Amino acid sequence: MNILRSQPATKNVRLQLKEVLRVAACCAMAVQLGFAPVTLAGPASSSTKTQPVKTAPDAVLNVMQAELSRATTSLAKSQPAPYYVSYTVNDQSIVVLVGAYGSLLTNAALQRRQADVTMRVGSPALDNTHGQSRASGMTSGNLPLGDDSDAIGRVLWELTDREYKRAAPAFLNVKTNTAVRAEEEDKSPDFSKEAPQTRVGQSVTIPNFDRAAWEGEIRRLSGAFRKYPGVYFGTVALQVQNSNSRLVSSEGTAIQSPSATTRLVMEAQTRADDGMELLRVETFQAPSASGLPSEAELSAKIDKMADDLKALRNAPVAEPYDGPALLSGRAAAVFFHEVLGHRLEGHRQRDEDEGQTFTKKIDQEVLPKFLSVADDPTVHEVAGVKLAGSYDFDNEGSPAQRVDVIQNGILKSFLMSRMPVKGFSQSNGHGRNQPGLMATGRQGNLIVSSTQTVPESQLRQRLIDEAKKQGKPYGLYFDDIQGGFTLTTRQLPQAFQVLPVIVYRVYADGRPDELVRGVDIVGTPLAALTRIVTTGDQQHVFNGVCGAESGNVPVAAVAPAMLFSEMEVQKRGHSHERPPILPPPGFEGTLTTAQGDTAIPATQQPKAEVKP
Amino acid sequence: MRSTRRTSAFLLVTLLVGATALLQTAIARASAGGDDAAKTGAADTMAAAHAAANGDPLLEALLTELDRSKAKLKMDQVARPYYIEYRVNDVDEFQAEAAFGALRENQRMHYRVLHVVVRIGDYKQDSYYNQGTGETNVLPLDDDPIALRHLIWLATDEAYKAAGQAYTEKLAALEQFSAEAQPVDDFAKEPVVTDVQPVVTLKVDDTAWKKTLEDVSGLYRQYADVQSVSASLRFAAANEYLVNSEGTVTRIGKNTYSVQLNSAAQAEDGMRLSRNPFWMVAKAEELPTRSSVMPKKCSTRL
Repeated sequence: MNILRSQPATKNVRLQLKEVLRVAACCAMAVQLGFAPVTLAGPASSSTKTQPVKTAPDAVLNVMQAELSRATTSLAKSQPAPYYVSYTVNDQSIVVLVGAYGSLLTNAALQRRQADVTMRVGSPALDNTHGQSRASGMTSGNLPLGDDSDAIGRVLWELTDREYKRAAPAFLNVKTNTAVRAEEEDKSPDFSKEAPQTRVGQSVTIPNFDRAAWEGEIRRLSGAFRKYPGVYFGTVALQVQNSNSRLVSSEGTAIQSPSATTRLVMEAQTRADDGMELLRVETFQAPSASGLPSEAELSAKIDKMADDLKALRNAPVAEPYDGPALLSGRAAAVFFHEVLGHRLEGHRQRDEDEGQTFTKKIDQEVLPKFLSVADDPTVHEVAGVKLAGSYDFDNEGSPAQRVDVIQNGILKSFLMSRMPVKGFSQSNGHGRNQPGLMATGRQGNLIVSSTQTVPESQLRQRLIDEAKKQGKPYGLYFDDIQGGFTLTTRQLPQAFQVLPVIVYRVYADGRPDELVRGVDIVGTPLAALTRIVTTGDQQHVFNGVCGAESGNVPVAAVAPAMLFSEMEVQKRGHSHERPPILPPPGFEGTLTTAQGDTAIPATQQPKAEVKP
Repeated sequence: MRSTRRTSAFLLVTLLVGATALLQTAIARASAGGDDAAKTGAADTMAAAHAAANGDPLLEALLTELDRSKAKLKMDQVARPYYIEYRVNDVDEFQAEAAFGALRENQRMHYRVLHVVVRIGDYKQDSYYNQGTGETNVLPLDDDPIALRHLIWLATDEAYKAAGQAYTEKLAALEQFSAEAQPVDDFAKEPVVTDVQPVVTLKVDDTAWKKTLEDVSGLYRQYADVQSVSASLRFAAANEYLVNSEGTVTRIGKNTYSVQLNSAAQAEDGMRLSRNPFWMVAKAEELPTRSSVMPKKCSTRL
């Protein structure tokens, strides 16, 4: 199962997660902070700049190469011997500021240097990472922070020793299991042969970060929620992260990959009278904090979030429905990430527990002919928006490549790591992982393009026309989504669920559009993908963090708005807890309960517009 | 909503597990008589509680929400709470670790965690059961009254609702047994305690200590047999606040300073051998000196 989200997990989503985690790997794409499984802390210095990440001349890279050489030479005499060893060392400098109601909840900084030692024992045809033994290929630990070569070398040596003692017995188990189990359908090798890559000496420009100024801005922005008694919980979170990742391998690869990312997430929550949790999230991403929107723009977004929540709380609950639907560009992007993208990840084509929806559909039509899909990590920006899933080399050291997975509706390829599958023996630069986990084929920037478009301004009318054609009283317009998930294992239905937050009924008889709440889009991939009628003429971007077997990785999904002839929605499960009993602090004298507003006349409800 | 708040700070919460200090109490007894006297006594007690807070913004925020909840927290079909308790752990800590002569971890952290217990029923039989055992929430680090009270308010609301459910479930569960009436009460009524001690702070020469950790873990160079060596410390100033609806107000501060050395080797027969000297003291001046931390002949002993 794979999940795509645009906010920290709500109770509702968590419940859904609990129900499915037991059966399948889980993927979460979430534009959120705190996604890294680390304890965020650090020197409480008043320094206004993040700590610089060391660059060339890189003492760390030198000691990595020296220790790798020593390890491969000495372990070559062992029996069984490793045929591949790599070290990945990732320096991270992270600052996290979280504000709520005008005060900081978290004000932390962290510096860490994490090492992953990857080892393959046996041969590329069959090694210790085969099948369920994949985790035996890696041991991780923290390295000393400075440039002390002896100390770094000693810890690498410890980790290498531990990894060999893990990988060698795992290989013997793999050999035994392979001998006693039925023959596998896909007999591809466990590891592809790739040309070594070298890119070192990359300069790192550490963006200036005025921590004290941002502490003030986060306090002020989060304080804006104090105006809204109906917003029970509102936070503003900023994460500034500078990284420098280094990879060296026994094949001769040596790659340095510096990066800098800043994310700002604003989240507001309330609860309807029936207990339904309602959530609005706004996320922003830029290479540095200076690239984020101005404080005035962010304040305006907070006001809009509060207005949306007020409207949602008073909106009727939608009923299960099957009929024409229009997805905004961002909603369509998430839809494709879940419904299609995860099913094109290479490793799913050889795992016999996977549904393998598309495994044998190469050169067959899987989408309407007017649609093409590529995953292109080499693109950095679309429609003026920086893409989160861009990189130069994947985590296995393969150069990033544009992969045209679907051309004019015809399936052409998969997203490949160095785990070959039948018919695809090489990586195409999509082997990705979070530190500490083995790489698998993953999405980077999934880009959906269309040759059958209409201007976005006409899409709403097309939805009405489609509803009339089908004799339906209304169509649904999905303006914004919070994420989604999909099941890819064959033990469960090949179903997906997309979680919208702003949904309108667009009536065929000309009544005003009506905001509704409490529905999820559901369906199965092969049926849903063929019901796309037409698309808008502009690309829209959804940036997020996607989690699956190989952990959380930043991704982007790009798509135009899409009109579907048919889409099914089901009621969303939710808590039945009442809204808070007492008014929030500061409103004791003005409100008798925490609800804080009255029903909004239809004329004041947000208007449906086809937009990203 | 509850889950999300915890998401943003759940790591901080987990760090508090086991960090709760025991209260040292100075006891002041409260008198009680008939209803009027009880009301007057309660009012006097809470007035005394506010006086004891003496302008501490966190204590004031806790007492303000405590007063409000005592007076007004009531849902249809659910009894008023007979007892509300707020406990806050305000921790400022410094942790560092060095391995093989180089610093591997170096962090300073400040966090505040609130635990709210709301009890429905009475001392003899109440809602302290399953989800009725309280709610935990992270509190703001700044002393802004509204921000503090907002998060206290939310946690109290959730704790009250959870207590209501727990009480019903507990009564239903008890119906299934034919045991005699329970011989002891669910909750002990104790005298009111007022003990507001000075706030403790963390003052430590982190530069010197980091160098000591590096130096001591760097001694591996002299001992080829030592396979791994590290040195770590955790210095903390923890102020624990407790207020309850009976009128208790305490603020107890404690410092803890711990230093640990870890080294390991392996005998020729494969047996793993380790030495892990450890110091833990309450005052910085009681910490071992640099010379006493530096091990002597540790390799030989291993």
